[in-house]
Amino acid sequence: MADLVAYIIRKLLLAIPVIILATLIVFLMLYLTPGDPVDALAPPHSTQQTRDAIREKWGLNDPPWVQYGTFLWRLVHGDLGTSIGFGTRDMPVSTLLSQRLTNTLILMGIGLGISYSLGIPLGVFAALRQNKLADRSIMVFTLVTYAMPSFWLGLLLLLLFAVYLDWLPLQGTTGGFRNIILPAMTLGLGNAALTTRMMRSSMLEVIRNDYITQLRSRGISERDVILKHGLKNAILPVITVIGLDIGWFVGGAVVVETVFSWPGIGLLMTNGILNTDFPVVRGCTIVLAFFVIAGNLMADILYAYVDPRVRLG
Amino acid sequence: MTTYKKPVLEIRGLKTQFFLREGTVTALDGIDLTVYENESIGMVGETGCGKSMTAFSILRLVPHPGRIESGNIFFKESEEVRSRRLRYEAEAQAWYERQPLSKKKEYFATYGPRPRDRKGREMRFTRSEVEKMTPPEIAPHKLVMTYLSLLAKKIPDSDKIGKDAALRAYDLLNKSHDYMRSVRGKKISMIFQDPTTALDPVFTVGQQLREVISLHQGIYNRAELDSRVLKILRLVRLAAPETVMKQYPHELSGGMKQRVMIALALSCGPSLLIADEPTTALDVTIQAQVLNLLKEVVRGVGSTMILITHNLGVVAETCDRICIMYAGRIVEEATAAELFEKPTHPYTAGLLNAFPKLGERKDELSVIKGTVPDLMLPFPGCAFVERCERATDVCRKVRPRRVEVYPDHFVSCHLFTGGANDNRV
Amino acid sequence: MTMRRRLNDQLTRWKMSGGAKQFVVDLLERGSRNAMVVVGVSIITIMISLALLAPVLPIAPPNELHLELGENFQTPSSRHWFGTDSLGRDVFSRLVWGARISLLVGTLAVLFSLLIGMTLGLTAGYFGGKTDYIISGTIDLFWTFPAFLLALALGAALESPGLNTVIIAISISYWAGFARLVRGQSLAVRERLFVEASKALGANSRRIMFTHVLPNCLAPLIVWASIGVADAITIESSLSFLGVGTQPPAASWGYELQSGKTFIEEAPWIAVFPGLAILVTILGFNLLGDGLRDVLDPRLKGLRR
Repeated sequence: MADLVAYIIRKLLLAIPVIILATLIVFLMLYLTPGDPVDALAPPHSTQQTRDAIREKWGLNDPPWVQYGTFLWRLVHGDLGTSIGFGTRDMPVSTLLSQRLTNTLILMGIGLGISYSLGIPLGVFAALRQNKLADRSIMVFTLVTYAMPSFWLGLLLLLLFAVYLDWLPLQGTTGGFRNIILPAMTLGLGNAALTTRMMRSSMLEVIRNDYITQLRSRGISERDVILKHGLKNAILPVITVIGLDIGWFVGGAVVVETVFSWPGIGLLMTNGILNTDFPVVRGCTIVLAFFVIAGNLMADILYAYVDPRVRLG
Repeated sequence: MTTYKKPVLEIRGLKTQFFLREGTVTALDGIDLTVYENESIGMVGETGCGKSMTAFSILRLVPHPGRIESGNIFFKESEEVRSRRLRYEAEAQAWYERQPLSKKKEYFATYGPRPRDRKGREMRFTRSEVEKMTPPEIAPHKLVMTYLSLLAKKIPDSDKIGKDAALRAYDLLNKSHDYMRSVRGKKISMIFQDPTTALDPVFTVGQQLREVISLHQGIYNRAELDSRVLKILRLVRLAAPETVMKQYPHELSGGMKQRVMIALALSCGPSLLIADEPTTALDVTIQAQVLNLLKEVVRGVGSTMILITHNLGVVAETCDRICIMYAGRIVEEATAAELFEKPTHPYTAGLLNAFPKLGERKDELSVIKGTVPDLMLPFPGCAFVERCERATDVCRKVRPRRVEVYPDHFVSCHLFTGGANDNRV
Repeated sequence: MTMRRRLNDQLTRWKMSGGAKQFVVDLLERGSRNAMVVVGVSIITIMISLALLAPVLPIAPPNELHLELGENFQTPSSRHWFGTDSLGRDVFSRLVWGARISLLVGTLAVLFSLLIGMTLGLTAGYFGGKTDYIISGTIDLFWTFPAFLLALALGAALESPGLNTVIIAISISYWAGFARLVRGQSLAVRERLFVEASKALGANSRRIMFTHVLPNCLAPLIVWASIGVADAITIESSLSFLGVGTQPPAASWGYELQSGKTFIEEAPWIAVFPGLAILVTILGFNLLGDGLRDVLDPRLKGLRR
């Protein structure tokens, strides 16, 4: 166990420069916008006074590294600027973000849950029946699902459940259980296909190993050999990609929230883009990047917990 | 030679085949072998001659698309081992009985495995039910007792009693999967060639040992399990067993891993231990250690060992009897001393010749010309015929029978069977 | 047998020889036997043909608006095979023209990613040491970060989005996979080179690095590139869906889906068909990639020896 703690500490320390790099990139985003940076930060048709105030606040007259320092300082203190978009003008970005943070987390969480609780059993099932009908149909199904862009899947589900069957609401702006089913399912199904394939191929490989035969030669029941030993070994590669999966989920959340109007950070970002509300866009980017980094970190730790061989690395 | 030997394992006419798309490979083509108590037997042969497949066939772990096509594998635990095992289990049972009811239910709950009813659902028990349960054993049949006592008197005809109905009770090939599971690990165990790939990497040594012991000996108490684990680890001469118990396989060296495998195999006191090339993947310096360990420990536990290898030197040191395999058939079988003194079969002679002797000068190492035959093609005669320098016409057409050429020394070769008179193919 | 011989002869006539010819012959012969490859290639060919032939196909121009009453939101009919959208434009025609965009973006983005990735990968492998450390650190960073988010952020910041922006954004986000491959291979070759260094390869080592590295990477790179095109198309359509990609009136599939969403109750066909097009195209490239992997993988093991 002690080596696990050491590993966690090491990973945390390594994450710090990554976070700093992310903030740097987000900071530089401001300079990609055309024209004067102030234009991006100031509401349209604002007075010279306002613009000067903004220039002052963000140190736009100062040399770059000072600006970056100001940016970081404000970031750490929770000040991400003020929205300049339609409908949310003058609201602090941080407030907007904190309102929607939990929504996105819930969506991603449930989506992850669906993805893995579908993908892992299905993958094991397919592996155990390799090349039989069940396996082949699962493979075809995952291939098609994987190729579907998530927003189309979402739209199809919307069409089916909200328009034709009228079971579920069309727009999820109010949050709540009925509203989250469709978006979570869309997210989950999209990734479940990938998980199933990974799990299947990993399981197939594990079953061929010598230690599986050895376990059988010890008289351990087939069920234990596969579900206790085989699964624990086969799940390792799948866990390795949880980090990448989380990255996909964050991106997917943006799209899915837009499709279903789920009030999360993704929808906020999309609206921000539509309204050319740069502070909001910037704020969302930071939060999303942070989700990705944090997600990867947790995935790494989980992996080290399950596979002791990794803790030395 | 008046001490009688009780057989632990008797294989008759074992035939194992692999059904591939390209054809059928006959991995084992009619193996006859008897292994006696307290005796270690070595199976020697080149790669692909079927040694490992014999081991898998005994345990009925032949991988798909292989199948045991015909034959019998009679297995009866040695009395000594069986009584010791029953004693352990009785101790465990007694301990369990002394526990209060709440603890009993708890142990069933935490450790399992619970028995299942016909629909495969796990069963739950009350105290009285538990008391009435007895471990499943085959009650010795009267006729079987007769057979065994016949064997004990070593009547020469005893090996013709094969068709005896009672004997079928001991044929492993007739048994259910559940019975086989109780055999594997408990009555017959196997250790594999490469300890690095043969141990589950995500469980500690202790966890794996506990799993086997609790499964076969019905012990669920953690403290008791741990003491058994430590005992067996000390038996295989692992230094600092308390530490090793908590370690994962990748943290151990090759020699240590092999010892762990031996520990796992011997943990439940099996009658028969099959060691499949146990030292091939090890450093030469460790090889000797592990072999000695095997010899001692197996004898100490009272088990019988089948040692499979391609290395004649290894079996010379470790085994009492040696049998030589070629192309899925046993070609010669004798005690170690006999074999090296009087190698009869041309293949054996060739193998022994191939080893350069100490102090002898040679410019070229002698080889056996030719290569191993393709097991997919059927060959009616002797398998060795293409490479044998003394092959005759008969050798090509008729398969040689197993004959006792010297006392307790068997060979399958036409040179010694009186040749053309045999009609058996 | 004869097909192989014919292929062989044809390639020799085209002045290919030795290992390269062998590789191509093998590839084509095995590929044509693999179901996934065949299906994938067929789909891709259909899509490419549609895209290239778009201007000459007998379909309505994609941007032809019909704002007269009743012309918009028409259900699929014999006149408009996939119906019309909110502005009376023929959906089928927009799909066909959209294919041009998707395929263009897909291939170009992958091409640029490939170039960036290969350059960085080779550099890292060749120089080793500190350079490698820095570059592989960067690769890891970009590798774990989802390409879509990166492209989204870039697209959102660059306030004049469009075709070019999308291509650039995807290229910047996607190169890491290629870089990893190339770097791995060049490191392996470098190992071997140092072993042979005693045979005084000296000044030729650079050329040898390149000539050894690239052929060995070729197979996985092809596989990765096929899947890369699929990914790039996905990202492009997602970006367009969110409004950050290709702008109207360009008929990008993703953009169609945006209006598909808005009008999903009234005119579901606007949502269904563009998505179907994306699905089929991506499926085609995925199948090609997977199939090629099956075809090339066993060979790969031989190559890497």
